[in-house]
Amino acid sequence: MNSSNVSAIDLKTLLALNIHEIKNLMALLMLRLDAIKSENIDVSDSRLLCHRVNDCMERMLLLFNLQTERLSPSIEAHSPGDFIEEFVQNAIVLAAGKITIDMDVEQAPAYWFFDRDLVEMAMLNAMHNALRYAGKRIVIRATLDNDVLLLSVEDDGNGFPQVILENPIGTLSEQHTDGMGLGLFLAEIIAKAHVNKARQGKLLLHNKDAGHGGVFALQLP
Amino acid sequence: MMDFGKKRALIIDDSPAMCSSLRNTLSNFGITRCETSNSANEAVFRIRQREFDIIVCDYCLGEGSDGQQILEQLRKSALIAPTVAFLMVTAERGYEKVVSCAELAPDDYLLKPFTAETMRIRLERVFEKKDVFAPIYVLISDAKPEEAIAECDRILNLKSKFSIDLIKLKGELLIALGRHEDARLLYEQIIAARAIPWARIGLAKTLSMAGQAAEAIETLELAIADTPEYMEAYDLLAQQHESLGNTELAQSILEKAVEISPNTLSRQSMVGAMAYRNGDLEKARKAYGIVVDKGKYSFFRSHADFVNLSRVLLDESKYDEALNIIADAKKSFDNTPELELAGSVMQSLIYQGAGRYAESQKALDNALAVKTAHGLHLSDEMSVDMAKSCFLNNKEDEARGLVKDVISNFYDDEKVQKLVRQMLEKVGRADESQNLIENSVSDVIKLNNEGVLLAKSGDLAGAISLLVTASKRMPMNVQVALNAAHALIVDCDRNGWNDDNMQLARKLIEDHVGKHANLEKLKKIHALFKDVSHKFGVRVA
Repeated sequence: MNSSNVSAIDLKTLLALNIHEIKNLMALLMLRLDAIKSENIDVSDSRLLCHRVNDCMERMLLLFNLQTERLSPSIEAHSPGDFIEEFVQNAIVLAAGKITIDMDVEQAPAYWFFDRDLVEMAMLNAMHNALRYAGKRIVIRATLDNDVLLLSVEDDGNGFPQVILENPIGTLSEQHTDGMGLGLFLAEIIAKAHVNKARQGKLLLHNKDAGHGGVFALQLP
Repeated sequence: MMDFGKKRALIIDDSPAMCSSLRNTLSNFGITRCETSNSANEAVFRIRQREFDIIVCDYCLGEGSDGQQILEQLRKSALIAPTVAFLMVTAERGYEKVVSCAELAPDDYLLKPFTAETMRIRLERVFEKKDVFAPIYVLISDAKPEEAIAECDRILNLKSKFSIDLIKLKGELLIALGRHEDARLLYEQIIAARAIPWARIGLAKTLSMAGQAAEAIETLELAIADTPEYMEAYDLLAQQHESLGNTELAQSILEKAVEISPNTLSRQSMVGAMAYRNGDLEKARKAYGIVVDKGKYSFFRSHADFVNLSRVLLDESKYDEALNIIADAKKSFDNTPELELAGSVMQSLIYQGAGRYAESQKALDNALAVKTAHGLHLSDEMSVDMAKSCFLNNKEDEARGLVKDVISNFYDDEKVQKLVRQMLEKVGRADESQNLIENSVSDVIKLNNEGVLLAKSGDLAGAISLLVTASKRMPMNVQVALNAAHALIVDCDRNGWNDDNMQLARKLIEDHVGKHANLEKLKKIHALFKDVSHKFGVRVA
């Protein structure tokens, strides 16, 4: 599939699936809200649901825009360390103490050129998935690898299903992985839109050995 | 965690609900002194009343105004200091495009929805960056650009995460000092790593300063092809073409820019001015009409917009409409002497066109009286308008005096000479134009020579008095300024250190360095300034 051109896929189906997912999330959210009486109930689940609804909205907007034009990122200099720190602080709030969020920016460059908002969108989606599937720990990392910035979200869950690893984008129309396919599809478009001279960004997915979790990574030249 | 307790904040959002949520969020960070405004005008009123440390502004404010306009107008008019943190809030992802292509960016922006945590961290980062830049801004506001560049270099050596912004600022400082060769190397270095639009624009500026117009144009065209939304490139490209005499091409470039970004009124104004210079009255009327119309919501509108529109209408012989616009201006603004003068000059011209000669005479007399009473310095357009009215009302001596002043001030500016020539044609004195312009220019040359002769004959005081007075009358005239500076420096060299005179010399040189950096004479006098300062043990950067 040509992932830089959305008209190649059936937008109607994608939007319908996305709206369906939003409705599911909203239903869950309403049930949670109804359960909140006067007691001190933990709202972290509801918070995560809100963020996932927002993910869906952002995706739809991006899909709409991709219909009419290619994705042209606004690439500026940002500090990857700062970017990851802000990202991790937000993840800690969402994790609500149930999952440990660690960050590793030791090997990150002082600044790098990328579209902060688009990359954040791709990373948030990965983070929200990781929060649902992780066991105890998530590691967010920024490193410089071969003159390419590598941003990754690593969890200790069961890892990505084999079908997704084999063809992350191909599972799109089946949507059996509730929303994950579309998120990855857009993450790949975002990574590829980052071009510097002759090099192009990439989405990398792999599982750690023996089902010790999945790694979502964006390579930005 | 950073202590925000001492900071004072202003929230600008047309939704009261959003204002109060944001105020709540800020109070959780310890910010207790927080005001809110639901409109741009109210916000500016508050900003004029007191100083804020943090401004949080929604991008979409309704009623034809947006947060980006507020930001640009606040920064350009220096209503907020560089130390003020300006945070834009927006629901539109499209804002990212707006900000990356705008001349002025907020310190940061937040995409809705955002968490309190994100807002806190972004605010901390903004102040962290402001702290790093603070010493540089102090040096800049103390008019020590060379020291500011040295400070940029010092921080760059620490491998700061703000390196890119430091390099950008350093480039701007180098350009302002006329050091285009150094600036060019800096920009080329950046572009070698990555072709960032502002680096290309900077490179084009340095090429233009070095007189390499063709290379500058090529660079700008490349920048536009890559990032068509980057507006500054169009402005520069139009300037390049206009100075090469390709005036119609220049106009079409600006028109294209306005098409892409129709809300920037200052560029709309530029289109009006250029179309008018090109004799394209219809386009000029349209552009100025938009400026006046949309400017209604802008708190930085100026009566000059109304005058410009009225001038076009006059040229189109639409006298009633032209008069109405002046009446509108008088209704919309406080009656300052400047407005009184500009309005009366236009009225006298319009009445003249409509054949109402007595009224024309009266309006012109009023204008001349206001000018004398308040000792107003006129813009070049206004001077030419006034000269035109004087010619038409048989005050030829006043008219020639005004023309002479304009020409001698802008003796090397083709645009101004063209303006004067067009005016003289309109009043049926095209035959005088060559003479008048040449005489004005030769008068300046004579005055310069006289000054130089006085200096050579040893009468430095006489030379200084003559040239410094002349440089005040024609501040844009680089030859007069440099001769004045030269006399001041030589006097100091011979008769001992005189701080006031050397400060004046420095100012005369610096006022022209941006536009005439390549002038051999300027380089020589600048070097002399440094030598003499050095001789007296005064450190200059």
